Parts: sequence; structure tokens; C-alpha cells
Amino acid sequence: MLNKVSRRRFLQVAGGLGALAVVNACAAPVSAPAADDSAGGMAMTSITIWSYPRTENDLDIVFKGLLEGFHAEQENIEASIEVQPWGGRREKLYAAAAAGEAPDIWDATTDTIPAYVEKGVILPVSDRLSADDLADYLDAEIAAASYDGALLMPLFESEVNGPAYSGGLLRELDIDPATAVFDTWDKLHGLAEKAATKGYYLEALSTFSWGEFITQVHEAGGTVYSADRTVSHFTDDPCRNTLQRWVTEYENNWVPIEFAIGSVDEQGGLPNYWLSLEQVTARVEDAACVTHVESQPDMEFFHGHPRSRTGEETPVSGVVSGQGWAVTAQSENPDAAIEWVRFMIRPENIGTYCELAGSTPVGTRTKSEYWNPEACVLEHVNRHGPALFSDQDANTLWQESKVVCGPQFQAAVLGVATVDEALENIKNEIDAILAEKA
Amino acid sequence: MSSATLRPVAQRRALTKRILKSLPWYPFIIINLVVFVVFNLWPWLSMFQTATFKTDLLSHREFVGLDNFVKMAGDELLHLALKNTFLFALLYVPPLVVVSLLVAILVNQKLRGMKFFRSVYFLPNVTNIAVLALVFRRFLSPRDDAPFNYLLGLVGIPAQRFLLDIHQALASIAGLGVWQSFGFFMVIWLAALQAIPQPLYDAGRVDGAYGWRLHRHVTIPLLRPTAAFVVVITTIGALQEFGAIFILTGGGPVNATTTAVYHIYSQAFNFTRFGYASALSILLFLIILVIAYIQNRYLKFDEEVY
Repeated sequence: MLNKVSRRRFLQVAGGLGALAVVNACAAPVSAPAADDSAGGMAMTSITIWSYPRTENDLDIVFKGLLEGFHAEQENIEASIEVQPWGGRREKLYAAAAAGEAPDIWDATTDTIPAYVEKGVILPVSDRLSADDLADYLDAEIAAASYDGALLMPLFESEVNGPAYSGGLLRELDIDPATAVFDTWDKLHGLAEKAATKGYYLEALSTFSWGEFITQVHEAGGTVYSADRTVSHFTDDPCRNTLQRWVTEYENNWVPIEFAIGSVDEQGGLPNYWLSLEQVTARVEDAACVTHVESQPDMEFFHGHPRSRTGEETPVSGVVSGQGWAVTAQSENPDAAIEWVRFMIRPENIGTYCELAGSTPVGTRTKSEYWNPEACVLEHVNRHGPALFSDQDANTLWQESKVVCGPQFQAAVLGVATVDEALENIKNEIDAILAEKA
Repeated sequence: MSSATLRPVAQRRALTKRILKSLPWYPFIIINLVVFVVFNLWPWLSMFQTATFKTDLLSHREFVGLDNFVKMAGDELLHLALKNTFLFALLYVPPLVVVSLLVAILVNQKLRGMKFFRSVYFLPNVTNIAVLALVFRRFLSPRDDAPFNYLLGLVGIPAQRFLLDIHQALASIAGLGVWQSFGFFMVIWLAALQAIPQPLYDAGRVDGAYGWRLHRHVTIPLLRPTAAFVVVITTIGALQEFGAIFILTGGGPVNATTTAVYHIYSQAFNFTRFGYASALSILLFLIILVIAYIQNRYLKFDEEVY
């Protein structure tokens, strides 16, 4: 005979079990017994690596073979990879470090190096890697991954960016895209005037695009920050010329006005005038010659050229930016973590990674021997790679600069303040932050 | 034994019996209590502690006492953010209350298709703000051929810059907020309208009240507790506005849409000033508390109306 369970009794039991589950979940986890014996009787060391997605399934597509290779060489290290979402990755890392749950290694971005150093989450690796380990890197690639002389995150991937032209639109303006060169600001604005007669934009400028601003300051022959990072140069001519250029382009409607506001990260809802063939030039990354043409088959993609303001300054294409393997200062197994870094920065492994991930590698041998990109990607990298710059501007107050400058740039381009007023306000605020951090 | 000495013993027994009887229900309370303590109370108390430090929550932690609160006096962006926050509340709360009430009265009519309209009006409320913001970005484009400017053009009004105009940006976002939320408050009003006893309307009609006078003298007075609830909730929501601003304007143009919560976010995550951001959060909490108290006191939220 079945016992009837009353509703009251059922609820009581369910409540009790629920409370037990909550208490259990809140209790400190019991450590799993260490896997202390491997086949060779050596103690196993576990390391955790945080990476960020390049494909629809990085674990299978990108890392499977690399992990097998690593484990074959390092039998006593158990490496596990967690593919984390890109969004909020820095905040998540900081939170994990604060909670004592940081990974041993993560895939770090160059522009945030000072923040990683300031927060004490990154371990310098200069003394742990030999000259042989780093032999394939260019000096600029080492510089971009270093801070105050210490190497922090050996790069495995770079973002080579530079200008490109929409060939069909140039033809409409009676310009031959195969021979045209717009490498100074005057030439560029001449193009803008012509484009405006047909209703096309010259380019798109976001007031929150810090990378674009520092690139143009370098085109004008200056830097935004002093080499020792103690003072800014916002009121100097290169910065003034750059912001004046932006104001000119906005006032003449040579750039879409919609991009004057909003953060770069949240501009998904804005029209892409480059892909809709209404914009004659754009700053693009290496694979754009493939992906943009795939999404817009009518596009005639032409590589642009490094630029300078008057032709007297050193021409530049953009800032060195990339991803590197960083070891957390909180890692309990830094030696094992370094083994992963050493393995992953070998030219053949960087090449394998980038081939599988569809990205652009760093290193001379890697590019020549272990990387087989589309011809146009190679042309883009060969043309713009040597014209990338890496100095204090590439990683000083990146986020803060963007947030402080954005509203002031808006004031200038929307006619609320003059260029000088805007730059004066920026300098006061940025110099105060530099002093605060000193 | 006298009855006087027996009484405490009997009381104790009764209390023990009551406790034993209710013991099985405590786990239910514990679940909520644990969730409340871990996810609400503890972070809330931590905020008070963090507000007395200059800290990035990771490497740097320096006790500064009340310095973070003193610093607010000289923070011009905070002053602008508070002004924008109150202005946003003014642009958002009254239209939302009025529009949602009017729509509720309309969909409360016993006509065919009202259920359909109720669902349609509620739809924006269940749509993600990120999606709505992206759609509105297109609608609010300054281009002549963008939807809103096209409609304005039909009645002879020149194209507006909306989000790009420092005088229109906040109102544009308030408009988006009203459109997103009125369906939810329409449901609240609808529930209140349908709870009004029919005899009161009948009595009103006997007294000669019809049409608007019936609503003026019967419906509106009886909706006062609901009105108080709607006003308090929408005001709190307005003072905490963040999502649409983050996605659409990033606080611009020229900080015209920087509100208190956006300023707190920026201080915490752009400048990693978590101590100052905590102090700002306490300030905002106090502001909301005072405003909610005043509203509650004067709108008589819990007064019986019939």
C-alpha cells in the first residue's frame, strides 16, 4: 500500500533539500586529491590557460593538435584551456586575480600592459626566456610586448592595420586606384573634396577611436605622451593638427556624423559606409581584403599607403597591436606556465596557431616558413607591417585617454568648443591622472 | 500549584510547540536569507567599506577616510551627471505615467482585439534593451532619410540631429525608455482598473457622472495607490538609467547624457577608482532613498481608498 505524501510534507522535504543544497554550494570546496603519480612516477603539474575565441570552436579547431604536441613534450604538465568570451575579459581577469582564482596564463592584449603591471597581475618573463626563445621576433614586436624594459607577454598574433581604398569609387572620381597614392593629409583632403561631389565619405572617424588619434598624431610627427609617461603633449602642434583635421572633416561632412558619439565597442547599429560602397578609404586589418570582399562582392579592394601629414614626417600605418601569452603573477606554477609560453612561441607553433585561427602571426621566420596567407593579406602585411609604430603612446592610459578625450573631441567636432579649448581641458585632466599614478 | 505559576509553563509549552511546528518551514527562509546575504547584504556592506579606500580592488588599497565623499564637491562631471539624472527623470516619469494610464484605459474597453493590442504594447518590454537601442539608433539617425526625420519632413519640420544634439540627446533616450516601459506599467494600471468594483461606477452614474466625469470622480481617485506605486518605481528606474545610454551615446555628446549611474560605471571600470565609485553609489542610494521617502509620504502609497 502506498503511503500518501501530503502537500505540506512534500514542501517541507523539498525546502529542506533545497536549503541543504544551498549550504553545500556555499561551503568551501573540497580539494580533489592531487594526481601525484604519472606514468613516470613524477608529480603532475596542472596549468590553466584562458584564451578568447577566433573560430566557432577553438578547442577543437585551434588547440587540439597544439595541446597534444605540448603534452607529448611535457608529460608532467597537464594544460587545460578555457575559451572565455571577449566581452569584459579584462574585468573578469582582475576579478579572478582578486579572488585568487586567476588562470596561470592568459591571452593578453598589448594596449593594456600598463594596467596589468599596475594591478600586479602580470609576471615579467624576460629572465625566464632565453635569446634563442625570442630569436624570431622583430624589435618592434618585443617592444610592443614590454614595459619599462621588461618583456611581459611574448606575442603570437598581430593586428596589422593600415589604410585601404575602395577602387570602384576612385574610378568613379576619375582616379586610377592602381597608381593613386594618398599619403599626405593634403592629398587625402583633395580626395575628400572630390568624393563629396559624388556624395561619398572620405573615411569614418569615431571620437572614441584612440588608436586612430595616436596614429594621426604620429603621422604629424609627434607623440601624445612623453617617453617617461609623466606628461602629455596634447597642446603641442601634432595633437592640435590632428584634432583640427578631425574638425575639418566633420565640418565638411567628409566623415559620417553618426560616429561622433557612442563608444567604439557599441557601434554595431551604425551603418558601415565602407561596405555599402559610400566611403572611399578606411582603416582596415590584414584579412579585410578577404572578408570585406566576401561580404561585399562589388568591392574593389586596394591597399593604401603609410601616411604622414606633409610628407616630411616618417610615414606610419598604425600602432603595433597584438595578443601575447601572459603569465599571471598569481600563478602557482610559473615554471610550468613558462613551458607553455616557450612551446607556443616557437615559429612553427605560432604559424600553426595563426593558420588555424585565421590570424596574422608575428616573427620573421614564422611569416616566411609557417604561414600561407592569401596573396592580398600578405601584401597588406608586407606593406603596412614595417610602418607600424610602438612606443609609449601604444600603451599609456589607453582606456583613460579614450574616455577623457571622447567628450572633448565631441565638443570640438560638434562646434561646442574650439580645438584649443578642448585640448587644454584634456591636458589638464590627463596630466592630473598621470600625476595621480606617478 | 496556582494558576499564576501554571501560566508561564503553559506559555512556554505553547511557544515550544509553535516553534517545533514551524521548524520544517525555516529551510525555505534560509534559502532566501542566504541568497540575500551573499548577493545583496554583503556587497552592500562592502560598498560602505570600499568607499573609505582609494583602491582598484587589486593591487592598491589605501585608507582615505571620507576623502572620497569630500572629492564629490569638486567633481564637476558628477554635478553635471546629477543634473542630467534629474532632468532625465523629469523627461521620463510624467510621460510614462500618463501614457501608460491612457493606454490602459483604452485597452480596458470591452472591444474586439483588445487582447492583441495589450500583447503588442507589452512587446517592447520583453525586448532586450541592446536590440531596442540598435534599432532606435537607426530611427534617430540625423540623415534626412532616417525614419523619424522622414516623418518630420512630411509635416514640414527640418531634419533633427537627435542623439548628436546636446539639447535633444537626453530627451531622445527618455523617449526610447517610455516606449520600452509603457507596456509594463499599462499592465499594472490595467490590473488596478479591473479591480475597481462595478457598483462604484453604478453609484457614480446614479449621481449623474458619465464619460470623463465618471473617470475624474471614480476611476482616478481609486487609482491613487497604484499611481503612487508607478511613480515611485518609475522614478527609481529613471534615477538608475544606464543601458540605453551606454549603448547609444556613451554619455555623449559632450557628456550631455552622462547620468549618475554612467558616471559611477565610468569611474569604476574606465578609471578603476572603485573607492570613489562606491562613495558615488552611496550618494545615489541616499538620493533615491530620500526621493522615494518623500514620494511615499505625499502620495500616500498605502492608504485605503475604499
